[in-house]
Amino acid sequence: MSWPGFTSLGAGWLLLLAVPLVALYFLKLKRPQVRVPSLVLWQQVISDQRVNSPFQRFRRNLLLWLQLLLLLALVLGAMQPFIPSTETRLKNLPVLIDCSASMGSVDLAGGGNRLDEAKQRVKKLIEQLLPDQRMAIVEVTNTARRLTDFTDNKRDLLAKLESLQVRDVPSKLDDGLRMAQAMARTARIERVLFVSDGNVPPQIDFELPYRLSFDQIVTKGNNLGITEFNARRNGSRWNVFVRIDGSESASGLCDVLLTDGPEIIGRETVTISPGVSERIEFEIDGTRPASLEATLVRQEPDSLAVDNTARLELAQQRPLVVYCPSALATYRQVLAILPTLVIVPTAGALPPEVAELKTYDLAIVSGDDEPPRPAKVTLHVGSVPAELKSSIEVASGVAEVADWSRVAGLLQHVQLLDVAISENPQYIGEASEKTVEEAGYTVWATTAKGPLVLARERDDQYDYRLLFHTDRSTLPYRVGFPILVANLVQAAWQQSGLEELRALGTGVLPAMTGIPDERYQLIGEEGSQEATAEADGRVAGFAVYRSGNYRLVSGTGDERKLGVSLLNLQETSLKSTSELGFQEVNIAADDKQLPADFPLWTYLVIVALGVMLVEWWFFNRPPMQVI
Amino acid sequence: MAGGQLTSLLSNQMLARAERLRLQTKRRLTNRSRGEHLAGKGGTSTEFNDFRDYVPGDDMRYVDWNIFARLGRPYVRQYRLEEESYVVIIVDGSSSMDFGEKFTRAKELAALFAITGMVNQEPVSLYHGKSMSVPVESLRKASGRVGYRPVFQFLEGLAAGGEATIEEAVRAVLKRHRGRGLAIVLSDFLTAGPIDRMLNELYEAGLEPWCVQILSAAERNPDVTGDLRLIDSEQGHNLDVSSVGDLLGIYREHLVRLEEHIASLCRQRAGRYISIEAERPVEELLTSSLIKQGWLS
Repeated sequence: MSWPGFTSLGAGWLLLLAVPLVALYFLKLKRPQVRVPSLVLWQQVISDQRVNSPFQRFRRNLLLWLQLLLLLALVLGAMQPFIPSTETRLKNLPVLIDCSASMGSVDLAGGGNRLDEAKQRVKKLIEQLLPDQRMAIVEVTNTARRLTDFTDNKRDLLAKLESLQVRDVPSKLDDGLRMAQAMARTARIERVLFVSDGNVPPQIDFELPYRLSFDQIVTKGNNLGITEFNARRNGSRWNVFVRIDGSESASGLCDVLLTDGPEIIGRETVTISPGVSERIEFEIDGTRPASLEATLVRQEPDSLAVDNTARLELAQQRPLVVYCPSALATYRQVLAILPTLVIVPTAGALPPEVAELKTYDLAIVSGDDEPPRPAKVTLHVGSVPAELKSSIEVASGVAEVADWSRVAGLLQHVQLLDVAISENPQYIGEASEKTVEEAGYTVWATTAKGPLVLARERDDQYDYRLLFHTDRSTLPYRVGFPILVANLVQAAWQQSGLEELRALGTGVLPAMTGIPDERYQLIGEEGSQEATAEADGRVAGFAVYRSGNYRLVSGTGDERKLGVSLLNLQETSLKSTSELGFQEVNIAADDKQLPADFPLWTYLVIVALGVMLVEWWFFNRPPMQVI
Repeated sequence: MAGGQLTSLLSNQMLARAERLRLQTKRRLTNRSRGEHLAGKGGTSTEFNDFRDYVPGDDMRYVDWNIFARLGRPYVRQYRLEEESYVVIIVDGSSSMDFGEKFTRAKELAALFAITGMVNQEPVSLYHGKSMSVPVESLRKASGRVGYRPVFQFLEGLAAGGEATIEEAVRAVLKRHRGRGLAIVLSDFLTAGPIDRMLNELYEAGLEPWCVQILSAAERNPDVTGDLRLIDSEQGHNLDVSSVGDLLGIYREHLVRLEEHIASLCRQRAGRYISIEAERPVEELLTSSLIKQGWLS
């Protein structure tokens, strides 16, 4: 049992009011005078042992005792007593509230969603906050956002709590835990409360520096949703794939509609078995761009609506545009035999669909030259990256390949053994492979003294470096050379979005290619965001928390459509874990809600009111009759 | 006095009924002087008792000559001796009696007892103890019907209101009274003094104590509550009592204890005790209490 504590102990001095109260009671007590025949019997009564018992003495001065009791109740109420919930009182409590997509699940038809239930629980905690307790609210989605600093302002806390909305993104608890850890630098934190439905990754890579309470909202969702939506080039057509997953108990018939704007271009009816995912394939024309939208329609109630729609922007199919200067004749010879390519510079006219392109799909350049236009995939032949020139030098001499990555995309099925290279790249001084990795490159092939092939794959831009010039090696005469060029072209197909397209998921959008230093604006239903393209044309940093259609508008007025969908198996499955795994401990969901310190002042006020009523009744009893 | 009533204290019917009653004392406390009460020894009354042999010196008037003629031996007739017994009626006139019907009922009962005594040729003395500073008012030795009027006038003229307690009044009466008999004390007996001592003094004076305790309903069941300052009507003393209503149970217990105490004291002294309610009319008291309990017959 915990002893009650007081948050305003100083109010105890008010008990001194008992002194004037007692004094006034006896000074002001005016007894009605009653004349009686004789006091003989009354004197015997007064001196009776029973009358002088402590209880009878108490009863004789009941009015005074009632007044003292009233004062005591009021003073105790002013001292703000409480029953501590735990052995250590929580002064600062960060509350992490899961706002991921699964929290928008409506488990009972006509009821509120899980976030509403979470809000109710946190609201109760806020209302029970004592004056010396502070709370901070942190929204946890795929990142963490602090809504309030530690504060005891209940109105502010309640307002921020009400402003919480479900985000169409998966949850990432470790970000929230790290934010709480950061908050611990400014205030002492004993415990952190996490309110969630448990639809989070069960294993979390985080070392808990505080106690974590997991308040789990019990869930019984029944949901089906689209978890994958992609398209693959099939000649001049697209094969479109839709994957449907669901919660463990979800099953039954559902329709999948594929639309391009208002036009329905496909429809499939599938039967979903519990725990089994279904993949549906559509084939559509690829000669024109399309804004595809796949919609899942169930006859049964569906807990989560946001994952029933997925969007995919399909580009018009066209040839791959490859920049390869004529000086690299060996490359051009290989490229010439590969299908559906446009090699520039070319003597003839470019096809109209590629003539106005501002980027190349693939650029193969010699030395430190740069292609005239940005390219999604670039191969520098015989070039050391500028940032590594102080670490790597190309010495004269013959180099032999010591090792290479057989699984690297560029070098798959390429045999480099016994390739003679008349240039010998090697590390300078203390430089090593680590130096290369710090510059963002990965070493895919190496000699005994230094790297031969470097790769840097960033979002939509791949940069490959052959640190030796292939013309000064025996590689063009090997079978592996056309394979290397074909791998390069395949990577370009992938990066240009002409081979396979995947629908964009919510969260931070992948970087897109744009005009260097151009300002871009992402406009959606809930507002817009701005970002400036980097020097290499990369446009990145847009965070999207709502599924829907967006427009990426450049400063020059160019507009690109983007369809963003949830597409997250974890969220669609509504799987709940009741135990969070950490590096050293596992945290099980609490059976009960985090007990808050129980304030007693309201009860004391009620007691005071009751005492006052009793006193009023006692004072106003029916008038006595005089003998 | 309306309707030809002899007194305002008792109705004529009540007077007529009282004249047919007789005080039933437990002991025969009589005086040597001839009276209406038969003494155990031989006397000169007309009521025959026995015969005995004549001895010289006997009064020749009591020789039964018929027996002498028949038996040839003189025998003397013996008659029962009738002696007189005083009836002393003491009415408590203190202020405590001046509540409700108490004093009125005391005067009515005093008249009743006096009539019963006087009609049986008993000398009836009436005393009214009121104040320490004023001598006891009295009417002494009224007897026979001729004593009715003085008795009624005396009683009708009494008024309550004084500080003398009943034991002080009795003590004052005993200083003036001489003669054995019966002492009827009409009081509420709400006194802090020793009642046993008062009864002892009556007993030692040859008076059989009859105590009539007259209490009003407000004294038996006080309807009071709250915090009060009680003021004694006789002494003027104050007593602060809180939550009086909660003490009524104990009050009643003490009242019952007082009644039992006085009754016990009277029994020990071959006396009588009765507690009556002042609100009940004297006709009802006579029938349901005094006759029923053998005070009068």
